[in-house]
Amino acid sequence: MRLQLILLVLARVAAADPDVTAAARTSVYADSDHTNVVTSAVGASGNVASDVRIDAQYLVDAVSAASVDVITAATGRIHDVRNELTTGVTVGPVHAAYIYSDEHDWTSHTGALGVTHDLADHQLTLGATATLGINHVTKMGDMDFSRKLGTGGLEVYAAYTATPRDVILVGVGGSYLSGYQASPYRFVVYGDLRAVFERVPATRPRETVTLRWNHHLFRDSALRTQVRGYRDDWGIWALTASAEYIVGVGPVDLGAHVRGYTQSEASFYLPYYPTERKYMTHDRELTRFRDGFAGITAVYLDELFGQDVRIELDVDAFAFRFDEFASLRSRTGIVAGLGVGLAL
Amino acid sequence: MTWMFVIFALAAGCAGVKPYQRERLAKPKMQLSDDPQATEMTEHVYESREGAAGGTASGGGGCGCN
Repeated sequence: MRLQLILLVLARVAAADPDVTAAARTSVYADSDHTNVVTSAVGASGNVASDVRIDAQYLVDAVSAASVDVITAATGRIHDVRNELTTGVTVGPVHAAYIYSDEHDWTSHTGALGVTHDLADHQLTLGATATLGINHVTKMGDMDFSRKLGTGGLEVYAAYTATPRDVILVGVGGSYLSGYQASPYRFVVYGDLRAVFERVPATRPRETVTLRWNHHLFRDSALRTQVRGYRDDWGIWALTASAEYIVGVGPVDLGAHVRGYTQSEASFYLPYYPTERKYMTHDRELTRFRDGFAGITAVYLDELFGQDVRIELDVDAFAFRFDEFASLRSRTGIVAGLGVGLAL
Repeated sequence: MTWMFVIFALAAGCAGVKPYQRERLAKPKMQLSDDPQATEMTEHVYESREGAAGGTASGGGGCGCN
């Protein structure tokens, strides 16, 4: 059914306008915590009228995990598949999208509405994107378990062409989560080896500030940098910084990039709970930790067999260091991806 | 929203970058998002393994948190 929809979109746009693009990508994730994820996506977009463009994408995640989380939940190695279908339409400066995602214990519906507006002779672009989502959480092996999670978010940004070599983007965002945000499988041991299922607050306001700067360097090269600050009312603050250097060598862009991330722990997280508390978690993503990614990218941009083609290959290595999580002190791994895009 | 008005004022007050000066800016390597599909997959790796999320305008749904 999903493939039929993609083919229908392709046929519709191909009949209306030659300005059709198609893209496919596969990435592989593997880490030392015994988790492997293979993600594949295929998508297409094209004009159906002079000012109307539609797009669709189908993505599938195949997960195989025997991580600390899984072992702690005493469920053994798990295999799961997540299907995600995205459809969108762009009319002039307005873009609307619907995203449906489904896995064995999680179903979500998300709507997004974005708008951009150019000012000052295209030197300044203002944009905003609003999202609204509803998630249904169930639990494998428990037919009675059913929880809801609502999400809403707004991001606004300003992209400014500062000089013939510099583009700067400043963005702020906020989101609000309300509903079930724990894991139905994760439990917390406290006191004298008693255990309860994880309990976290029902609401979570989150805020971000992002600064990006792309600078064209000598000859055919560019430096892309980004800094993001984050905080939420669970007590987590985080800082992300990344940089990528790209140089053109004929039809190929070669790049090297690094990314660093650090966060504080949630205010209710304790490595060990002596007594039962209102909120208790054993989620390593709510502890204080830091991680780093470093990798290389090669992008081929040229004509191949009469078509404009983009072929991208990227490989990253990463390392996580958890300061206060005794079950998993560190995690290392790789992420590799291969993508192909065509302008038909 | 104050920052937006500040940037707008700066943009309006500065000498503009002329269309013939934008050759470098038009290159894919200078785009803020040159491959949305790759960006979405990469951001999903980060968001499902870190406590922070947002600030990237990437889409996606579901948990994918294993």
